[in-house]
Amino acid sequence: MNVTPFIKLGTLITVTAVLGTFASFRFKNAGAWLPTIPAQIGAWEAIDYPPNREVIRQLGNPLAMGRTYISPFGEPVWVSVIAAGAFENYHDPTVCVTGGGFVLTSKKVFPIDGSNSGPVRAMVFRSQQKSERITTGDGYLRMIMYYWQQNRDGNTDTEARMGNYRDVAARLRTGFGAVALGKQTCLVRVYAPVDQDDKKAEQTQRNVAEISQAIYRAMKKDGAGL
Amino acid sequence: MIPATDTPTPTSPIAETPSSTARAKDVSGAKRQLNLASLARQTGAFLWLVLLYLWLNLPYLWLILPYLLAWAVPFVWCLPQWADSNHPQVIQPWIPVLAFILIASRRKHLHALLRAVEKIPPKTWLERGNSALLILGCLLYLFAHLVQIKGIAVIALLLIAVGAVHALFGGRMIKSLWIPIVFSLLIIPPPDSAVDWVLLKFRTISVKVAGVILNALHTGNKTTGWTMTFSPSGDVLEYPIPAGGLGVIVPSIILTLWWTLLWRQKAITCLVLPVLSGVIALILNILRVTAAGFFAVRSPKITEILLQLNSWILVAITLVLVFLASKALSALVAWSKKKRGAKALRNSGALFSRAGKAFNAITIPFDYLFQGIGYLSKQTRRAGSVINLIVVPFDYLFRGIGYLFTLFGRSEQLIEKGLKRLFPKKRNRRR
Repeated sequence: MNVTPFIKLGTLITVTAVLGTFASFRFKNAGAWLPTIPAQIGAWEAIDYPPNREVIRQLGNPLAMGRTYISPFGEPVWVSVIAAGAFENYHDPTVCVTGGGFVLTSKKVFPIDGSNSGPVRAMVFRSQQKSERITTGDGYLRMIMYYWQQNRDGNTDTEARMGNYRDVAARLRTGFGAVALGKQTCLVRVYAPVDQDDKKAEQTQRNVAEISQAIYRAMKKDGAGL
Repeated sequence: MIPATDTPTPTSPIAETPSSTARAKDVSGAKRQLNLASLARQTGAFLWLVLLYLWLNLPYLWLILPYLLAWAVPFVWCLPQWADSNHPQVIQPWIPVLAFILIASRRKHLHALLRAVEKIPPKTWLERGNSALLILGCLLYLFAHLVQIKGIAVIALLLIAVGAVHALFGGRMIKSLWIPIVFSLLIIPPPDSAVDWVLLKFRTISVKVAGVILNALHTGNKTTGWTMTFSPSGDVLEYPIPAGGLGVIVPSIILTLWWTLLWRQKAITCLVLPVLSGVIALILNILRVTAAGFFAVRSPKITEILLQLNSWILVAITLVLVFLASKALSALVAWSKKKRGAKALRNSGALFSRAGKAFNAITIPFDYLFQGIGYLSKQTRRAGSVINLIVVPFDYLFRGIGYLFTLFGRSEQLIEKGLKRLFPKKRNRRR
């Protein structure tokens, strides 16, 4: 039997398999960057608030950190930073938070830190059931969340990558960045509950925006190695 | 003064001194190391020769080993579903083995085809075979690794396999292997969100049906989603994901389909038997879910065993039942082909109709009688539930047979038409 065609085809399959395996290793490398975020932002003091172990397990055990920033007035803002390697780490808040008993009521994308900065996705969630803690208004608990994915070079993106086929274009962009360009990415969530006295949620949004900008700048600085 | 025993003797100066002993040990160690190194080298060379021999004499290894290597990462992606014995996709890792058996069952035909191709080489570009499909598969494989979608990766791997066969043996081989190739498509994992949605629907519907049956068995309950709240105790039973039964239904359908393909049954059999298998698996699962609910307030241990039952056990029972059903069906078909059988079937419509009416007439008084016994015996709760357990299924069985017979009776004309088509009169045949 003529072996040559077998060798040719086998070589082609081997090269493809090796490239595929290489791509998987590159994805692992993409999730190896977990930046340091400041322990104090202006008058805000931070305390460590590690993410839930079960949540981390569901996300495929990525590198992750969480902090709670407390203002001098006792207002909390939570921050979670997750190093995003494989796509199983990319859980979108519109899916996860709504799965936890909330409804997405509004969404807006805008630059995080001036017109030259990358975009961030701001979302407002409302609890599905009335909360006993909320005695005024309609009785529902509300939460403002800023979400973005930030690369080491400071670029941000807000598109979801959780859907396999639905988000295939966004996944291809991330995949190409991680495999061919060696980009490292982190998922950032900054969120705070709306206090019942803050009827238009202006104060909560100001707090979330302030912390988000500080985190964005700190990550940009860390990514540049400064 | 140094004692005489401590001085080294001239005959064995090296052995006695500690430094010389160490040196001797070093020498033997080095020798051993040298021996080990040479042994490793010799073994390596031998293995290399064996591999070279195999690769030169078994050229398929050039394809199989890289192909297995290509499967490594997608296999890891699919493993969570494939390793879960209650997941509907648990059958998927066995698809290549089943497809291979299908190919092996056609080996004589394939050998003949190869010989024919050698004698008369194909003329067209498509029949001659080319690497287009293989290259397309490789590109798709790389794309799948960039987007990390297991479904696309498995499609790409199938394309690579089919492309390799096309490149080596040509289009005629692909044409004659179309059944195993189409069967292999069952290995493609569907989107997780779709699977989760179907699992959820099946779980909810199964629990709802079980709730209705349990209410009929006088085990009061209320279902919400996949939880069942029993009354009057208020106990809550939360059914797990496998309660949907897809872990039984999907493997049963696929294995039955494979069985019909292996024995080259007619197209109608390849369609009917897997559907029958799915129905039997569904009924078995509903029985399991109902029994779990029935014992939840009586013996929770039995409920636990039933809900944690490995799906493969139910698959095996389903396959046995399908086998028996297929035997019965084939006997019925063989009987109907005989003149007497055909005539009997033709007359069966009216018979069924009459029997149905009779059964319905019997069932109604029996139903009231059994229900009465059930209500009376409620004073002694355990005895009542046992009577209900025995009586109510019979009641439903009678009703079911009655309805079935009535249905057959009504479809008399339909059966007649079908029989006329199946067994046309002789003079029609002559024409």
